[in-house]
Amino acid sequence: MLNSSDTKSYKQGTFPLHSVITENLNKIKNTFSNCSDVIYREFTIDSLKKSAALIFINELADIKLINENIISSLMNIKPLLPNDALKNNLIDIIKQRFLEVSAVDELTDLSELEEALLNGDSIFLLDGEIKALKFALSSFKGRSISEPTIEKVIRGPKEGFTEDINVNTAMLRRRIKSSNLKFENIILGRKTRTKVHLCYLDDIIDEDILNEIRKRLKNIDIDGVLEGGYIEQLIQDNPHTLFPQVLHTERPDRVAGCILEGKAGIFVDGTPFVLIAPSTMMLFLQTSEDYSERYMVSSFIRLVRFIFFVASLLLPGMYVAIVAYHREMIPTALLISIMESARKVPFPVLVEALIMEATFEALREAGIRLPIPANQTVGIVGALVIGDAAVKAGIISSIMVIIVSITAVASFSIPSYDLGYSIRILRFVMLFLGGLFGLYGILLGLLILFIHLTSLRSFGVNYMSPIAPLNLTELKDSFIRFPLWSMDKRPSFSKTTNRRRQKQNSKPEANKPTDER
Amino acid sequence: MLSNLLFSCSDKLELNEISLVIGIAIDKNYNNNNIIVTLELANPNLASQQDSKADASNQSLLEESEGKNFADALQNFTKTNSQVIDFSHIQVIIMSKAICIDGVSEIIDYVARDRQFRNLNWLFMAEDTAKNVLKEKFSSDDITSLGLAKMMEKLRSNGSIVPIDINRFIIGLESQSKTSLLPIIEIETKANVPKGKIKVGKTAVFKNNHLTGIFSEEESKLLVWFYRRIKGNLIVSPISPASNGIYITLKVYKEDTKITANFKNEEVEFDIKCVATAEIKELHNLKLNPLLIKRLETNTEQVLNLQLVELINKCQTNFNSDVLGFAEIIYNNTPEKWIAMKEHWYDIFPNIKYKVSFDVDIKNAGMIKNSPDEVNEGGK
Repeated sequence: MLNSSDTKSYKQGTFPLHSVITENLNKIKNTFSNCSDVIYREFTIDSLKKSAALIFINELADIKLINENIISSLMNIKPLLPNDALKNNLIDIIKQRFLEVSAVDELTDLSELEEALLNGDSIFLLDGEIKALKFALSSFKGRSISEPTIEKVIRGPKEGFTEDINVNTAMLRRRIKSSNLKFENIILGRKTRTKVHLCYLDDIIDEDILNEIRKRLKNIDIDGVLEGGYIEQLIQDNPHTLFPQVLHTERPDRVAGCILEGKAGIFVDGTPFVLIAPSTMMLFLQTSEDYSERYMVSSFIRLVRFIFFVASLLLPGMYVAIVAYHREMIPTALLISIMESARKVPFPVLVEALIMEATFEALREAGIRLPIPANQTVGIVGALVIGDAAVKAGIISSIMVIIVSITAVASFSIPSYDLGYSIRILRFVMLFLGGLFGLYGILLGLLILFIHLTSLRSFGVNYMSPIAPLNLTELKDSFIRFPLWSMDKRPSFSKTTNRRRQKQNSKPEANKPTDER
Repeated sequence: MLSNLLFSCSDKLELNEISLVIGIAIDKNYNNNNIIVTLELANPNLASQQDSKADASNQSLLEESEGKNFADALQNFTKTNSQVIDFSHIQVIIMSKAICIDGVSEIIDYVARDRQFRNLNWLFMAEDTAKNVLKEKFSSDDITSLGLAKMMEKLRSNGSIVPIDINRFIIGLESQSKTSLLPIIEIETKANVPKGKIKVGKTAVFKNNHLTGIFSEEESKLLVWFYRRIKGNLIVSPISPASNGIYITLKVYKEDTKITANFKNEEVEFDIKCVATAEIKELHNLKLNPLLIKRLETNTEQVLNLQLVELINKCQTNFNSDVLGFAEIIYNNTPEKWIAMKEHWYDIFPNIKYKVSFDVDIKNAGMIKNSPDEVNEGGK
């Protein structure tokens, strides 16, 4: 996976270590020329009368541990035992007898050495040896584990992923304590050499899906992978669609839930977001909390969410269409009050809606980018300007303000930001269709939208499943959530053998001892 | 291409370009036989001035226009109005008595044919001029037409008259009997009250497009028995109030009416079976017991029987209009017989024999058993 055109890097397996230490050191120094963060510590081991070197990258390796454990133990190597002399491999002796470090590896190639250094490991070179030692004593002071900022829940664990992939995988391992939980390591990015872990439960995930994900990941060959989004864009099924086909989440419990259903997680080093594949439309409308709350509560919440999901897509378009073309659909008394508020408005209702929606989009974008102290100001200005002043000035009707506010609130009820973005764009499309063709246009738009949605796949899984194609058992976990004990099968895209995920009759009443008194 | 795409924009109207019509009153100009149309328009301009309560009573405007016929009169509105008149929210159409006598087919045809009119508008006949009705106001509703529509909506499920919308009116006129009904709006004026009061009680009978007769308020209540899907109720006192300070009132709810036509030697006889439930509303100086209830039931049945027979007689002799739907029943059940009767139905109709029977069931005595002033006595 190394770039062949990159002259300073080594091709794998073609540059064995030299037995003269200075030779090796020179090669490494040449490779890392002008890299002031690489530290070379050259010293002599008195008892062996050999020169040695320790190489590591500042701050990536734990200097305190290196000082205390490695340097001291290496420098104080005792004289050799007689039977040690039989072994001509000094490195092995040192590794076996003198090192106070647990994670030690042997390296024989300069390319391995380079990669180890870049990953934050420390390298030990000894004169006269064609093997080097690698100490995995990397330490990078990243962010500590904190509550997820985007995906908040009321009930559920309050920890989110961090930027460190090792911490993230550990968090998942702690949740799924099974040797079937696999983390396949893949290095992506010519320059960034980003660690990517493909994570799955190998007794649950379908082989075909797994191979497909592997294949697509291996196809990636770009300079840099700085975030999961880079990977998402390179592995999604249909690159030309508004809808996200790979879910990203920063919640370990959510990833665990998905992996237990036979999905795969893609961990990327340097980002707290983990990709989930395959992802269906329904997955974007669910939260991890849906499973923690009792089924009636979460069903209700899901319905509310779904209704407002539709509202955030259609409400402005429908309003414009009905007011401009289908006035007879509005109850008379309501129409009269709408007419009252629209009496002075100088714009056509479509333009009015566009102004308001555009203002709202601007406010929303500004709200994200602004520093926190200024955030409030924008909120107040926005509320005053579009909420009150515009209505009083007669530029915007008050009903339109209500419509746009409801739409705004509704758009925040979509749990996934990715899906929220697509809906935001489609809302404008619907607004135009409604303003130009009335409800007929909106219906046409919806028709095209549904045709598009049903044509989408996420790693071979139908995007609209379980609605299209209809799957009644999986519908139990869609618009409403059935009780946990009734959802006893894993989704159909998981491994076909033994899809049952709990014992039959887990319903609480059935467990009650009947003749106990 | 773009013009094709945007073609549907042509019928787009902004809200501030339209005038919303809520009610229409149609009158006749006696001088030149023209038709005067009065529209009640929603008045958003005044209604939004919430500060001045005085203007709130003027939530609707009346606009008047005259023309050779209904279509012409509506056309003439464009000459005096800057806004497009929108009929899609029309609630009531009121026709004056003069129009009804002349014939309503022209107006009904226009309304049924036009795209903007909904055929669920309520139709009325005004006792006097229709325009005056729209000038009156309900105390609770600022817009007269909306108030009338609300009133009819309530009467449909629980009423003393038969509300008629355009569909029902047309169905009546197109049925075999060629008759239909319309509620009549009167304006009740009292000497010391400056403003009149809208009252809907009587019912007009139409035969072949023209007004043929008017049922009184009492008779109108009974018409409910002949109209399906309308739940009516009426107050009946089975025992005359004068006797020994005893009085009793029942509220009778219509449940079902079954009318069957029996043929005997080419003579048709109708069997009218009415099923009703009743509720005791007032009971004084009487002890409630099963025997009394039985007696009340038979008494009520007799009273209702008598009233209904009177009504049918009036239809047969006075109006000779088959608003009871006898013709339709023959046509639906025995079409082969109807072919023979069709031509001279209105010769046969006045002499048709019929039998009325009632089945009243008192379901409910209300919250108390005996009258409050007798409670002590009953407690002994």
